[in-house]
Amino acid sequence: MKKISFTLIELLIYLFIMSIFGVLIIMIFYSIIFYSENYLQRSLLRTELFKILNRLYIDNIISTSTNVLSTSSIVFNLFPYGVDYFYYTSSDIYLNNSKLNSKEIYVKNFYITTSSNFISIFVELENKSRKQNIYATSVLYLWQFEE
Amino acid sequence: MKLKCQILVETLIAIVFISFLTLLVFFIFNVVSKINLISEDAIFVYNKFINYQNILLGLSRENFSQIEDLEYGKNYFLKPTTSGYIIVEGTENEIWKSNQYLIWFEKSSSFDELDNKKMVYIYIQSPNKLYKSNLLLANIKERVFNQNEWLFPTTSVLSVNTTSIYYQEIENLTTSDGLIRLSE
Repeated sequence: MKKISFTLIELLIYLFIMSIFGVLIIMIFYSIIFYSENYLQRSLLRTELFKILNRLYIDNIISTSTNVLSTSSIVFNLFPYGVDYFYYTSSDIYLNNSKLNSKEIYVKNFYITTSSNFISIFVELENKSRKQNIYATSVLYLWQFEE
Repeated sequence: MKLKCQILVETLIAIVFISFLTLLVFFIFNVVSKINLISEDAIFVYNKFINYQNILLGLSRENFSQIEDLEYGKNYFLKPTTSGYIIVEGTENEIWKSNQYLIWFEKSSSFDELDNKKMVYIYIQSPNKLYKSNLLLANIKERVFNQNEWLFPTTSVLSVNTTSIYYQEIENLTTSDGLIRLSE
């Protein structure tokens, strides 16, 4: 039975090489986790923005309402059977008291401006954890407009 | 012999591990980054297309001759003013999240013989792709869906098509006289 043993130099070289590999592997995994987390956060912001824009565009509530009123932070849509309102308060966006954005983001900026029969709604969302933001301006045409 | 088998097994495990790591790195930094880029394009393109469609719908409803007076083969964009939007010849240049986008529209000659219908092509050039959307505007003098009351019933407009059709590679774009055109 041949005895296998290491000298101190061999052991140190072995530990040195292994530590370099270990650091490299840790760096790779850390970068993968960091990038994935970053990507997921950006994806969440896009999804939330799309959801809000989608409610504005696809519902198209303004075009079918009989009257529209707007202030700096609220758009009211008056229907024959009731009132719909899209508004912003306390860093959240609501449509008829239903919160549109998730808990992980907040609304950094929200402006409503009108010119002629067009209404522009500027929305900027920001991530609570990573300080990433995304913004968009949706322009809607009001079929009938009173202010 | 036992030592050789052990080394072989360890080598195989190492190869599997390194292959997995390589694939993961490739996926994260190549595939995911491209998906991320396309996804960011998509939200911008979606937003701008519908904005342009809404604005053109409004402009044509108020005064359909604005669309009729557009010349074929010229690029136009919508410029905001204090009293709405005006149609200006040229291309809109917008920077969004460090990316440059060009937006313009042109009138198609598809419905040239019909006075009450005009087809408009809306283009968005992102850093990666060229996106196109069709919008058919009609000047009809009667009620349209969901409209029970009309203040000005003779200038109503019906939007027919608001979908994105295709994308095209950037190499097919040519620039002449400061205007961007699609190569035939």
